[in-house]
Amino acid sequence: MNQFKKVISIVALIFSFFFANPLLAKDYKASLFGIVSDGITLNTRSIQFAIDYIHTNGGGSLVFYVGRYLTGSIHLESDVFIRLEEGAVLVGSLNPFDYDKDGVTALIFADNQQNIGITGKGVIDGRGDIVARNVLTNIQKGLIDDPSKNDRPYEYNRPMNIHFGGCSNVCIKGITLKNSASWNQTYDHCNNLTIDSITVENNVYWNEDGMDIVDCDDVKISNNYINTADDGICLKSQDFNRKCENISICNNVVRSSANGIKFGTASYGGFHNIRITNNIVYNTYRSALALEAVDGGTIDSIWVDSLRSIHTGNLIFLRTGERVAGKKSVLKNVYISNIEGDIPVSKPDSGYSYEGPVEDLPRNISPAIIIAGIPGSVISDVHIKNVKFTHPGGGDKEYANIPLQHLDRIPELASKYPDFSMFKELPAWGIFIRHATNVHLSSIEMDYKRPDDRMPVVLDDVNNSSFQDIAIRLSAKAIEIFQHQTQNVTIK
Amino acid sequence: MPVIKKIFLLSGFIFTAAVSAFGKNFNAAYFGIKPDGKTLNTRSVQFAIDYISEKGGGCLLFEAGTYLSGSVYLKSNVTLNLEEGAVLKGSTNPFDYDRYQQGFSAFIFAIGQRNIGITGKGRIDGQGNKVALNVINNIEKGLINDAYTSGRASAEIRPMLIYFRNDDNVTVQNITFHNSACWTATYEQCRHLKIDRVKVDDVYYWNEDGMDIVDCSDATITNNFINASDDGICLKSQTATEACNNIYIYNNVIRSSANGIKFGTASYGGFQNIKIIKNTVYNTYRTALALEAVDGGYIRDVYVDTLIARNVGNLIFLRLGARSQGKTSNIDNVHISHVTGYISANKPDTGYEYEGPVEDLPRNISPAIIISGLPGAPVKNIFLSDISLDHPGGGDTFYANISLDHLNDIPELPAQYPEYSMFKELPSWGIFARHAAGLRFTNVSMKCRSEDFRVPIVLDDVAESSFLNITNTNGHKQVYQYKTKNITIK
Repeated sequence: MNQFKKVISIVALIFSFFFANPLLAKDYKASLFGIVSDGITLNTRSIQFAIDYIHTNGGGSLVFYVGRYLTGSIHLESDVFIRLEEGAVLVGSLNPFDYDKDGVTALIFADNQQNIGITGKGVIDGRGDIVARNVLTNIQKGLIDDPSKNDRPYEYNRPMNIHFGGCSNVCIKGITLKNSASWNQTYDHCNNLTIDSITVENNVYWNEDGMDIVDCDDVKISNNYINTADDGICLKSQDFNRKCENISICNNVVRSSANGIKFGTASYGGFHNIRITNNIVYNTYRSALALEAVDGGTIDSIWVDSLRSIHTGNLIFLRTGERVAGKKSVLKNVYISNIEGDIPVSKPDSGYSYEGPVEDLPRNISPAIIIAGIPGSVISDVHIKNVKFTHPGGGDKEYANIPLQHLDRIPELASKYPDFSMFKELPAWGIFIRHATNVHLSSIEMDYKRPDDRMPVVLDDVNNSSFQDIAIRLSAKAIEIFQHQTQNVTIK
Repeated sequence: MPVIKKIFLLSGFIFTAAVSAFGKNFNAAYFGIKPDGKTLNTRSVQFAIDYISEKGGGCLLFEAGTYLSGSVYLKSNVTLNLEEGAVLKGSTNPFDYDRYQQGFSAFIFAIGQRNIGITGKGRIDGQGNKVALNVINNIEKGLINDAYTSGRASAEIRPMLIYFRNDDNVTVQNITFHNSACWTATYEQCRHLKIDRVKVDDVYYWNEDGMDIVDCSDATITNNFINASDDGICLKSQTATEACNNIYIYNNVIRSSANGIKFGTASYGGFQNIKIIKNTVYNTYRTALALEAVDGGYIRDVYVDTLIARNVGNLIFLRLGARSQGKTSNIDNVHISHVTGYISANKPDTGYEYEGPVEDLPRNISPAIIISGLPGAPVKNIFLSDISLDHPGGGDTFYANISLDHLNDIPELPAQYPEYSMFKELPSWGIFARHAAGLRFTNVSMKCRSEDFRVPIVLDDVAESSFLNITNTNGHKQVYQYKTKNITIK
């Protein structure tokens, strides 16, 4: 961003503060519109009327005080904020027919609106587990068509809590989002989006992402607490002509039975200029940080700093793929620094409901850092420094083994759904890098709990790269780095 | 009606009956529709209707229980069947109701559908008085804009129970309609409509007509019981190019705080070929039978036989008006026979909720039969036979009086809302006819229960008419004529 652009965006920011600030607009109590807080009266139409009314009358906040407000799908409109005061719960109807469907289904929609938001210390409870089961009942009765694989209705038949598309100046602040029947909150093609200080408790059904940011521009995700059955903070790109860009993800705490912070799986356009700083990921089944470009998009200019990963299945997973033949993806210019992590010997999310599924076995516990490009899409310009992690070790070649002379047995799986465990067994416990160039690692301190048959570091088809101060904690020995088909690799 | 047409119509009905008899039954519970009276089932009921319609049709069956809902839309080949003990209850929240094209609001809509029905011994309860009060709350809070006159919200924003428009083959049978916020049930531009054995219990708010048949053709309205705070069975014509045509009104019992059986007030197109046979109207504030053409439309070929009116404000009111200037209406060829009428000395609807408003005073109790055209636009060819009427009499000159030499003082009021009491005092107690031609009255026996200073019959600007075998119990000269021509009295 050049200097001029910066000034413009600061001016825009100041403007948007004044015009989008809910404190400056008029407040309307929900009760004015006959919205009833008894948890029994279905308020859908009254809430919608209130939103329409506030929108038509110059904007303001629809304020819900303590109580349970039952509703089906509502559609937020420009200049309207929903404010849920402490003790107010917006409760999703248990009846699937109370939700609108427009490609996706959700409790709160906004479509091409400006200056909107949901704020306050109240709760949105989708009761998605029951809704999803009621959807399933309707499918089994033959009332709705759904392929319903694995006894789950398809996502498009399960309501999210929030789906905002094409909106600008969006503020989600303070609220708690609970129990969606599918993804929790999706922002698609939005710009100037702030998600701040929210709590996500979402462990009651499948596919409950914490948040999905899809092809958005100018986004701040900060100070949130997220506990979800699926990916925690998930950036996606579903549009070839768009990307996620100018995003800051700062000071969040994430717990997930999938990945903590993830780019992908949908990665058609790309991800650009994203800063991920000072976040914590814990008790998370898969990777703390997963950057995946597998659909022809580009991941470029990503900064990750101060990430604490506590008790996660994997620390960092960078991946290019080619899910659609001929669509080459790019992953480059990634700067990762000041990372701490520990990987447990047991399942990191055990005890949470809707645990991640045990799969991709047999394998010994995967390496903490996996950077895996494919021959046609080499990952480039990755800088990782100041990383400390503990691995349980204990790799046993009787259980699973890739001999170092047979690295070609590791499949490329260019079109497979990406996950750190997708290759099954890998020959390193610390770091595994394949099909990458210009990778620079420095000040890496690795530790293991039990002896491991595998190498600490394996490089396969890695070029023009450097490794400096890579050490095993309390070990005087120089680290062993196994290289295969490498060129111009410096180790210091 | 030619025989061919009759057969055609009959076979149409048989076909309809066959369809509904063999359609599949779907239990409401199957769609998750809850009978707890608390769960708002709007979307589930709508889903069920859409589903049944898409699957080729059938019956959505409500077993005993209370089913809360907002506006739903009936679709082709679907019948709602409310079993005895089932109540389809309207939400008290006005925002749960839709409006049809910014116009009427209703609980159950059917727009442009075929082979539809509402049947069963269950009940549709609009909770209309509560809805109407909630509408007023919303107006007073400034949430909605409304003219809001006399403490009532406009009729359009108060939901009716039924608004069916442009439908074909409609059956409404056995159902009880209860407590709408406005008119009970309106059928507009429907064809092959059957309303049978319906009970209307609607005396809980203003403007609760029993049923409104608007520009419909081939309708049968039979065996119904109606207790309504506004007009009982009301035929309207809202569209100048449409009409109520070929309608059969048979064996109904009606109680109303307005008119029993009425054509109008909206009368833009017309009313023709209508048979009104063997009906009873009682405890009814205004007229047992009111035929009004005031908006440029026509009333013609109407046959009324066997009408019993007990304790009513007025027996027969035929009115031709011109509410919009330049639009001439006409009434021609109306046959009325075998009518018994008892006019009450007191307010006939006393004690019912939402009683008719006392107005158009001072006047002595109006004549039992009022026929009033306009100057230059006479009501034509009215055949009355075998009429027996019982009037309380008691007219008092000190209270109100139009002396016979001042008939010109009775205003014409062409643009005024028509009611039998609109002229205030009239100079007769039995029959008042003005601006009419071709009146053929035979066998009319008139009784006056107490002394009345007025003459039994006044004719003003009446031509080419005959009065045969007219008797009355009052000693006064029987017929007073003013500006009459070719009148035969025997």
